[in-house]
Amino acid sequence: MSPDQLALRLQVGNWIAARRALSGESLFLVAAMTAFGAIALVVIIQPLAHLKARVDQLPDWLAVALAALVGLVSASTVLRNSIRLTRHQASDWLCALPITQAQRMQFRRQHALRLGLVAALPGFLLLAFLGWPSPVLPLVALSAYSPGAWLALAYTPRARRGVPRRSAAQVRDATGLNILGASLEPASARWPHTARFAAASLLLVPMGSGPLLVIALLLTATCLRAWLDLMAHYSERLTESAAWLSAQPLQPVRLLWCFMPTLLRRSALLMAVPLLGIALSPAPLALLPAAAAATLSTVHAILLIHVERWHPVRRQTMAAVHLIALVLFAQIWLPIAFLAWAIFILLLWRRRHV
Amino acid sequence: MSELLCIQQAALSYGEHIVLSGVDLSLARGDLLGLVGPNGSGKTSLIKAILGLRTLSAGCITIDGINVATDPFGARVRMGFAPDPALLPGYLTLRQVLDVAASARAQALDEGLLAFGETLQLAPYWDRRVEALSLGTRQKLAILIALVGNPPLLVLDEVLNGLDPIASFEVKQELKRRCAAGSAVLLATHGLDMAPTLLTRAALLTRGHIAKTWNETTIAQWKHEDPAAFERAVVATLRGLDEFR
Repeated sequence: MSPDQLALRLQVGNWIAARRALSGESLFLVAAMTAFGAIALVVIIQPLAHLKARVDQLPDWLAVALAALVGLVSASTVLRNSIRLTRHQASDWLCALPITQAQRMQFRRQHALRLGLVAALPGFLLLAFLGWPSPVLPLVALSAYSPGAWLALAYTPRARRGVPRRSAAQVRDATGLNILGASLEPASARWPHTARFAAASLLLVPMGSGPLLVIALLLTATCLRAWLDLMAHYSERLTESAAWLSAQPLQPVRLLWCFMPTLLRRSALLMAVPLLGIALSPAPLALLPAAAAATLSTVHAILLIHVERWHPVRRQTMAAVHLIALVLFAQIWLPIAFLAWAIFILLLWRRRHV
Repeated sequence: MSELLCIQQAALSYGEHIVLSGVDLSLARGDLLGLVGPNGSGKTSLIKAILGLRTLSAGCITIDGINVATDPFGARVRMGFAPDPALLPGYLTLRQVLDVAASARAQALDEGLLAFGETLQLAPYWDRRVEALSLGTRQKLAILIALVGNPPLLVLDEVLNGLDPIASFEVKQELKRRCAAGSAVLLATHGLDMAPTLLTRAALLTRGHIAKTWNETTIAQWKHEDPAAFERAVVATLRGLDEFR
């Protein structure tokens, strides 16, 4: 077993042991996530059925082309992971040990493929649902994914020299297009350079057509992922800043004010794409609740990150509790969800100086 | 061949920025060479080149006769390096980190190494995760990683930083023991005060080139007559160079 594989196996073992040690919390998280998944399934089953009906109306060649596109996009995650792992290996703690390049490359490829398959799974499952009972669509996606993943693994990126680039964005003084660039930067650092060309090709798809619905769904998922990246990025930065400023006479809330406006602006820009899609859809009135949900989620996430900046595990648990509570309240009677949100925010705000 | 490390006319640049130029240095078995120099003088870059992590633009580096550029694996088998404590994997325990390092050398973990770790007062931490350790404890672990497999050449970059007095003393004693047993150590350091009692030779690196070297005789003389003389000599040399005027 190569040292990289051994380290990964030990890491997984440690993670399982840590989760076992916190058995109550782990059980709760699993239950919460299962409940959330079930509720989410109930919520999205109707739009999915609508989407399936639209896809059924598409000409066969177009549905097949879309499935191939999903396969190729999924394969790009293999490339992204391969590049990330190559750069990590160039300067990690094992780089000066006597490990052959072949061993390191083999681990890199296996791991990138594993991560890529996990990332591709939701897309393949969606295609299986849309094409049911015929297995053609997921098979087409898989046949586009396989050579794409193979090519991605065959490509050996050049390891970057010197200090690895941090996906740092300016906190202040960004205006106009710079804000957009800074908003997308943390996410774009994870994309291959060719992603922008693929994105530009979407402009060729005619408005109001069935494919546009699928593409809008993909874009929304991408923006959501970019938003999560943005949150993770700022979570790291906020924790780092809080750590080195903790000995200074600076109130933690001032740090929060420093980050909050920028994050809100950037989140708004990221959410603009799916919101624009809703505005142009047959149900434009859905724009208001969607915009409200995006804003409230962002405020909630920022405050949660700030309050639990020293305890990332607790942040996950608290986020799960809040999310489940809000979704459940929204199912019972929507106004209670807003009230619950306000209470959560108030409780978090009272702990802002922690 | 008695030379374990041989650096000939090594040059390295990042783009237009020249980091090393015309560096000549060699280490024989038993040498404990101190590489000193101001911040940004190229010490870490030189060490990375020795490890095969940077490609020289000119010159060559050999470890026990093996060219680092053409056979980095063979060269790394013959040298141990203490990684930056910040890079150690936080999700593994101390013992697991050493197991992974030993697996890279296709060896089981040496009992002698664990005993030395206990000398460094690591016994209570073997099964703790690295992320829960202090900087000094991580530094001790990094030193142990360099010693895994008893490589004949040790390349150490500022490894005495953050160590408590006992650990610092024990590490210095261990380095001396290993040199006496036929290993060689390249130690990049800013700790000039301890140099005469620890080092056998020293080299001053400034602006990417070796500005001055001190041989074993000079250092042994300072050790007995004036332990502070090395620090004065380094400062005087640096002040005498044009770029520091």
